[in-house]
Amino acid sequence: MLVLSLIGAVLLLFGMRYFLWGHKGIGSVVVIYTDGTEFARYPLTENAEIVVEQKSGRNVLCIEDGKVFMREADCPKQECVGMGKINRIEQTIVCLPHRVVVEIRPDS
Amino acid sequence: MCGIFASLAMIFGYLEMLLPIPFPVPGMKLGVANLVIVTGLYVLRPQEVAAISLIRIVLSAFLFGTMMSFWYSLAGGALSFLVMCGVKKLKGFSAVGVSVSGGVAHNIGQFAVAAAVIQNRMVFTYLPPLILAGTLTGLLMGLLASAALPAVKQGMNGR
Repeated sequence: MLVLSLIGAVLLLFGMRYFLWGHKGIGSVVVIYTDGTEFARYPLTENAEIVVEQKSGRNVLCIEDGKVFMREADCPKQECVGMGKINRIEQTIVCLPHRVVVEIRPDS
Repeated sequence: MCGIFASLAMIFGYLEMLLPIPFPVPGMKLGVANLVIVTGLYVLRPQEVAAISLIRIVLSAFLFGTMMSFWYSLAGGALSFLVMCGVKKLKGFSAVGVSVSGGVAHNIGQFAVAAAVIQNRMVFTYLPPLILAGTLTGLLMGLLASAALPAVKQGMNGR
């Protein structure tokens, strides 16, 4: 019983990523925040490579085929790079050390 | 004794850093050092455990971490310690329960720092998986701690 609920909890943990975010549908705009303020916004429709260069470090975002992902970053743990590709509303990619938040929004 | 616990906590923390296990939630870690803290709560005085935790956080951050990681550790560790002390006093909570509450509190403390650093509403969507992760890791560490406790108590009685 305990083993079953443990397995269930672990599955829930991995599955949460998909259930929690993106129930509002596909978004159309990527908004990039640095230090809590808006840095730039781009449409998901056009492929682009966006470099965010700050004193704290460098992040490179890539919009490709309607999805955005962190291609590279010089932060130590690379957690933002591992966050994968997002394109649904309210999904985010966060680089904590560089205070970069990439959020998908429905419209400009 | 406190020195032994503090060094153990530091070693466990360092070892954990050496083995990067990929978790789905950013910032999630096993918190193996908490194993020492939870065990300590049952064999040492609270002030001693607080001191051990503080020493571990400060030294680990300066030796292996950054200024930011220090604040995350401090917030997580402080909240975790306070919550665990409180839960330990409640009847019906075993070491496992104390560890679970500590793990969750630790993650909430760290999350609070992250939320303050990144002023974006969306970070709150990370809270549910963080809490779940804290529960699971706290459970695992709690089981280990309760398994180790009899041996630790026996070892300490020899002093």
